[in-house]
Amino acid sequence: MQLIETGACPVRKLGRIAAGLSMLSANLLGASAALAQDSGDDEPQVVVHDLMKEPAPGPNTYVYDSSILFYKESGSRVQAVEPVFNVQNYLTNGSIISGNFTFDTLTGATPNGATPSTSDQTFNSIVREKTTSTQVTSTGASGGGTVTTIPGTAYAKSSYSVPARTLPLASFHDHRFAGNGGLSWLANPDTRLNVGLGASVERDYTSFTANFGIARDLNQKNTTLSLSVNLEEDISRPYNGTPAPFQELNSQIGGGNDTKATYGVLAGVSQTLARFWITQVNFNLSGSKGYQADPYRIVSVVDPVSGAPLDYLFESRPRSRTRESVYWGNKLALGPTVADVSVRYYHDTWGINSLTAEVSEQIPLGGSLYIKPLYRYYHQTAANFFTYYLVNGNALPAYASSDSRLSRFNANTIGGKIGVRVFKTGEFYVEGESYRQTGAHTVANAPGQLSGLDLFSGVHAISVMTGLRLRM
Amino acid sequence: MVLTTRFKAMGSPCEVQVDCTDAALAARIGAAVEAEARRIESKFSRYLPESVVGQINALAGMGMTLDAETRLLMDYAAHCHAISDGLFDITSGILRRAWTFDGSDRVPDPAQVADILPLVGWGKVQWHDGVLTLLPGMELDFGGIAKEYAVDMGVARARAETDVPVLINFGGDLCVTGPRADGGRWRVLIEAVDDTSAAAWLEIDGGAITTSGDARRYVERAGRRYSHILDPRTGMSIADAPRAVTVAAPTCVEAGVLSTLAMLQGPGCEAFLEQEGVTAWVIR
Amino acid sequence: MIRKVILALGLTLLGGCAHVGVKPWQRDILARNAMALDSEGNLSGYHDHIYFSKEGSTGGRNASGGGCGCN
Repeated sequence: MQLIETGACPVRKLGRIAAGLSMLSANLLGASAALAQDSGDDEPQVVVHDLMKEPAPGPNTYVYDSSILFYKESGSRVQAVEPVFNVQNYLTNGSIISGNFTFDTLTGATPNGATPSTSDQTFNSIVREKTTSTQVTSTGASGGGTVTTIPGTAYAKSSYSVPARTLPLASFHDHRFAGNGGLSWLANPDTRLNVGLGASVERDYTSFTANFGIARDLNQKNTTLSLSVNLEEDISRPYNGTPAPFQELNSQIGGGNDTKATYGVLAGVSQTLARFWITQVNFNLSGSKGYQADPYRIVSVVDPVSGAPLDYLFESRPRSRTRESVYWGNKLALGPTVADVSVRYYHDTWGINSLTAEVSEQIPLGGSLYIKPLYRYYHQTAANFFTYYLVNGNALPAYASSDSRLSRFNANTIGGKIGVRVFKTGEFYVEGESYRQTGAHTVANAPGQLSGLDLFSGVHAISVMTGLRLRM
Repeated sequence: MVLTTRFKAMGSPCEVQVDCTDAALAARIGAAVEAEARRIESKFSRYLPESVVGQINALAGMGMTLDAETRLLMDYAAHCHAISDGLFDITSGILRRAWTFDGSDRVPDPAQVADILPLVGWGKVQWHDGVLTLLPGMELDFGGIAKEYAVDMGVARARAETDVPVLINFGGDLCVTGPRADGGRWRVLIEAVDDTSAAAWLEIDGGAITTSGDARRYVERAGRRYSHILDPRTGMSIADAPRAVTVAAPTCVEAGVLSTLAMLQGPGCEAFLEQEGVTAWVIR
Repeated sequence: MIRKVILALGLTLLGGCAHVGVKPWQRDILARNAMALDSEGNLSGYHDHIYFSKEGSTGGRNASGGGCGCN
């Protein structure tokens, strides 16, 4: 048997690596032994780092985000509950597969488009009998309403009343389910492509979307150019059929479904300006052709002297709309906080111009919690065919709508979000905000009673959104 | 007279030999060294999800702060990586998924290795100011130094308790506190590398010994032997690596890193050891 | 008017692009989730939906819009 003899540290001339290791090892063991002496307090062994310093998801990661929105407008108007589930799978090769599922339930009431009056108003319409239960325009906001079958026909008379001096609202109830899936992949290390498909279905509306995009990195990934196209086909299937423009409310609707096709192009550039600052400019162009009116919304025809409502006509909107917008967004790391500042300017061929400015600041409180106050300012001009009412005797304009979404108003959103680290790699968040639209309550030279009534139909809504994002 | 405590830890037969006549002292030393070995195993074993390494691997992708002892080991591993030009790499463990070392002839498909390689490389790890961030999917494996570290820490524990000579041997990685009580050398049997070679007696009176070898973990194919020591830079087994390398050094961790680096030199093993002035025995 | 604004912004950015930016090893802050331009996940979907159904504008951060019968 072989005998190996070795002694205590023979004098040896060590090479670079061995000498280095000798010193490193001595240091390691000396320090570890010293630690062993002090140990007694239980220092936590592995602590996941600050929530706000978490890196963006990398390869081999799944991100699940489930959340719910509670939305309520004041004045017994729209309420919604919307759970959303989103999953993203980041693959090793840089591809990302994503899926999003949304379900929302809307209840409450929405303005029917008529102006208020100094007397009670009754809205009579002719509805299709198969749609009699809880459909739009068959009940007033107070829930009262009558439906009387017209014998020998497939139709019924629907009637509901609204008290004096109140904005006429019609109640409704709807469910919507939407899903979309996307795939994004690297054609080469600097070029990313993506495609997506989506569908949304609710009782009286169906929508299909497809999108394609390409993003190209330049200047050592400091600059990214992107271009994407999205196409959308919508089918409007109103319960009582699609009314003709300016058709009287109390008349039989002969139309069935109608459609709308939309294209959108987004061209953008993002640029890192400094270690703490990234900025982005997007230009958006989109066009829609087809049915774009609200099939349930009416406009009051009022007496030119007394302002009393004489008739109600379904609204009319152009069948074509082209929109353009420029968006400039920034993310800035200011010390430990991250600020998000953005501005958007918008213009469309219906005459609406808008300006949006948003700012929020994400502030860490310790390593596992942050708060994020936010503020948004919005201003839009009215569509050129927006009107609160039509005056009897005047020639009918080409288009008319009293939808507050097309009116001139300002809106302010103020809110805040809290995020907290859970389950080591997850985040639980809650955001609450108050959204308030402000606009004109009266119209100059409004005839008769209308000059003393509040014509404003904008919203004030509170939203609470909460969810859990998990990363694994 | 040598009093021995035996136990099993870190997948190896372990023994603590105390050269004294005081049985109570020997038992105390043995228990202390065993406790330290178990502490280190439960803290750094990648097989235990609740260990520090288990948690780090589960949280890959997130930034983490680590306790003081783990920081020391991480710094040590980082320095070893630098000083060895990338050959010593604690992120290379996941390459084992491509290789199955069971004496069969299954060599991995280069495509398999190529899939794993993006997740290997200490250079991809962010380690600064006590914060560690791995890429998601990366794993740390302290298997290359945990046993040696446990031996050295055991020696420190023993020295803190007594001046009596102690030998600690964890499955062939061993260290002595000094010569035997009578001034002579300790005698340890080093097992044979395989059936064809002989066992050897080792006589040691100071420092540590470790052995890196492929006795049981290798793949043999077309007459070539692929050892379980993989080059972290390519993911491939080192060609013409020695069957075993035994290194002597003042501490066990040092000997461990040197024997690993020596194996990774492949045909240049002897020259590397000569150049570095390391006391070693190479078996081919 | 809007086209002139776009052109000006776009050219300024592209023109200055080649010399502005950070080295790859300086991306530590930019790599954080909080600094991603679209870091809000499901919340940005909720905001898009609310503003799309209560206002007359669309577009901005992304090209989406619509999908529901609320505008």
